[in-house]
Amino acid sequence: MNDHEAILTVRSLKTHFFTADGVVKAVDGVSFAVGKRQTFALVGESGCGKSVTALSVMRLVPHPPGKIVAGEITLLGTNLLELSEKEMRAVRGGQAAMIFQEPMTSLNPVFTIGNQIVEAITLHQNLSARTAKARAIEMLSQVGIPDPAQRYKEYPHQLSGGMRQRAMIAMALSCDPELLIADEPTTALDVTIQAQILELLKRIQVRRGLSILLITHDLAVVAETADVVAVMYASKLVELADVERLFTNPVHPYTQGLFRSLPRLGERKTRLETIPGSVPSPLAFPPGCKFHPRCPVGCELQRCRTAEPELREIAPKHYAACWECPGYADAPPADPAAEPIAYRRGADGR
Amino acid sequence: MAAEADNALVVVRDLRTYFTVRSRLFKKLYVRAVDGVSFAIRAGQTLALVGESGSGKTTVGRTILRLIPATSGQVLFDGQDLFSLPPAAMRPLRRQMQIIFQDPFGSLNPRLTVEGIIAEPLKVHRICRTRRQRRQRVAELLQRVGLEPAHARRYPHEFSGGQRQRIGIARALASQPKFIVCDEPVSALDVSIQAQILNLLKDLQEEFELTYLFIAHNLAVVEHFADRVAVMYLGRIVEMADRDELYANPMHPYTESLFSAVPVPDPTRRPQRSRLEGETPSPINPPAGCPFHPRCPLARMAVAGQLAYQRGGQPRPPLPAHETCRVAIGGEPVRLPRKCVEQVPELLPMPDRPDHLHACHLRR
Ligand SMILES: Nc1ncnc2c1ncn2[C@@H]1O[C@H](COP(=O)(O)OP(=O)(O)OP(=O)(O)O)[C@@H](O)[C@H]1O
Ligand SMILES: Nc1ncnc2c1ncn2[C@@H]1O[C@H](COP(=O)(O)OP(=O)(O)O)[C@@H](O)[C@H]1O
Ligand code: SF4
Ligand code: SF4
Ligand SMILES: [Mg+2]
Ligand SMILES: [Mg+2]
Repeated sequence: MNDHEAILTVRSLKTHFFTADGVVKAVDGVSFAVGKRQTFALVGESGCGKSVTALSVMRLVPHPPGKIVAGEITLLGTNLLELSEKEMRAVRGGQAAMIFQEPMTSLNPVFTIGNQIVEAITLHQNLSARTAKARAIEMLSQVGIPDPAQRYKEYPHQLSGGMRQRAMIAMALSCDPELLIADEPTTALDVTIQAQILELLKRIQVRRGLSILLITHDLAVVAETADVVAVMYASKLVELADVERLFTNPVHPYTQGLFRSLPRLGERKTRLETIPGSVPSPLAFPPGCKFHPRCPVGCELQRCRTAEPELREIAPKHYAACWECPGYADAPPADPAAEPIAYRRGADGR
Repeated sequence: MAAEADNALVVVRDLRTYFTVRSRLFKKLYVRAVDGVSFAIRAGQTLALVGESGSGKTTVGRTILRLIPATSGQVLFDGQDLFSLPPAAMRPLRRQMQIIFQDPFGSLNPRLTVEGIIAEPLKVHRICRTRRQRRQRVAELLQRVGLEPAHARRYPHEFSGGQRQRIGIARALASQPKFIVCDEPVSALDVSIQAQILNLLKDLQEEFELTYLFIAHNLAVVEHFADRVAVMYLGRIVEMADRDELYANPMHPYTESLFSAVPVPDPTRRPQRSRLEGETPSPINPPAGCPFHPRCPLARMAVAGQLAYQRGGQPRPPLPAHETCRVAIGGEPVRLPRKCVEQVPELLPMPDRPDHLHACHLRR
């Protein structure tokens, strides 16, 4: 298999919300490519546009007020933005599936777990009721749900948070997708259950050759699971590299700040370092580099305050959008959607 | 009791909080949310309460503050027995004990201005009598938590999560408390904001000599913040020690499992996971014996003879058959140490380390 083959490319995506208070530019020019069988993590703070990016790929942005106003989203060679709604529905239950932070948003409380998985299966495959049921129970057991035949008959509220998340994964996988979009799949769970779910996703990925677009705000989860990482701030990507490079050599002051403010096991400081201020509201983004009011490097620099830096390839396969980072001045503008960053961890996770 | 300390501001003894729920057959059932918890917090220090969701952490905090009635047990605050005080004597103590909530969105009244929210305790406890004094005090408090006096006239929805948490902290500080229950104060916040709030809480602790009960599930945050740590499982404390000791020498297998589940923010280091299987059982019908036995890796290792009682020591031979028994866990037959299944392990100090307590038969 070619390591440079992309399953998904997102190019110059702009998704805006037209609200009474003004235009919220939730995603404003985002480009990246996800390689086949890769885990691509999109990381950033609350409100930076991660979920809207994911919803855009699935074409599930609520409309009105939201609209994809520009860009191109290509899944396995098909530009999704040109498909009819009917064709898109086939994609959603076929090549691509999505799971959410709160499983209850996608599980229907009035139907049993089994019912819902059977429905997902039969939507795209012509199976007898009996085969579909057997398949659903098999799915539940594959995601590690004990006593699957019993759980099949239960309603979502009868399951714990971790079990619901497993059931949702089973549902997402039941139509055998090639791309799984996971939006904060473990954020609502305890660390012990989080570890179980992350391991489950990893196992399924290896077994099925799945590509995963993982959305999270947790850098530790990124470190444990991702091959390639994109850091998002205020509706744009600010840094993009393979996981090893990004963690050992972050160049954007925002990425560096995130790492510094992270409390780590085994490190005891009297004070944590912080990023001053807070994430700006998308209705009042600052001019110039959107990070400049919080940036220890550029807050006083004229260029940072007036001109917004674009993403450039500052070193081979390492992209950043910061006037002051090393290598930026000499680098040409980059197209990170041109091909995926070919990086994959070994089976042991390294 | 070994769990208690000299100059403790808060002493909790054998606290139990049960909730009544009804089953389908109208039978009364008890949720044993807190089931015999004892600890002490020294004045000016932080005790962290950690454990999975549903382990009873919030209920402990709220029961101490008498926001939830206790089923039994005792809480001493500055030497006074809170549960036997008449309401009139409780009132002056109330102002000395405050709480900061996890959810900075749900915990502020949306119809009040920031000034209204922070001035409420000032009114209730008759701290500032005139409106002008209250204004003045609210402005001071806002400044102290890193907001601006001009924010006083705005409403909670106009603030970000971190700013709302600062408002919640200002409200808690308003009555000049000695003791604050911080119930997951940063769990809902972004990393860059978490660090700001943790630093603020630390500064305030030093400045006002505050004592904290710090409820959290992030062990890295706790390591940074706490003086002493108690680990809860199914309504009980299973291990408690000073921070350095607990992080260096966790004794209870549940504590070990918690540590090993923490994801490490370093892609080049891949820790060997001892993954904890299964989920916390229901506190309505908790397992007999050691509440952790259905999930405990140590108990299984002891039967198989893989267990080194002292970490790093030699494995011991498998337990003799008469010290084990067969039980069904999740439908599967498993052989476990008889003690683990039949006897509730008490939280006891270690012989050579009286400040380190744990509740595991096999690690004795
Ligand atoms: N339906 C909507 N109407 C108006 N604005 C919206 C809508 N959905 C999202 N937004 C705005 O778009 C921006 C990006 O939101 P998004 O949900 O993608 O953030 P996120 O990065 O996923 O954050 P979180 O970590 O909190 O989930 C935010 O400013 C948000 O308020
Ligand atoms: N008002 C209540 N009625 C019934 N059960 C409750 C109530 N409050 C909490 N519980 C139960 O008590 C247990 C402990 O809850 P809690 O103290 O909130 O745990 P934690 O804060 O550790 O997550 C849980 O099983 C929870 O469902
Ligand atoms: S461009 Fe300037 S303000 Fe923006 S991150 Fe770089 S140094 Fe900071
Ligand atoms: S008493 Fe037994 S079951 Fe409980 S923690 Fe110790 S070894 Fe495990
Ligand atoms: Mg989101
Ligand atoms: Mg709680």
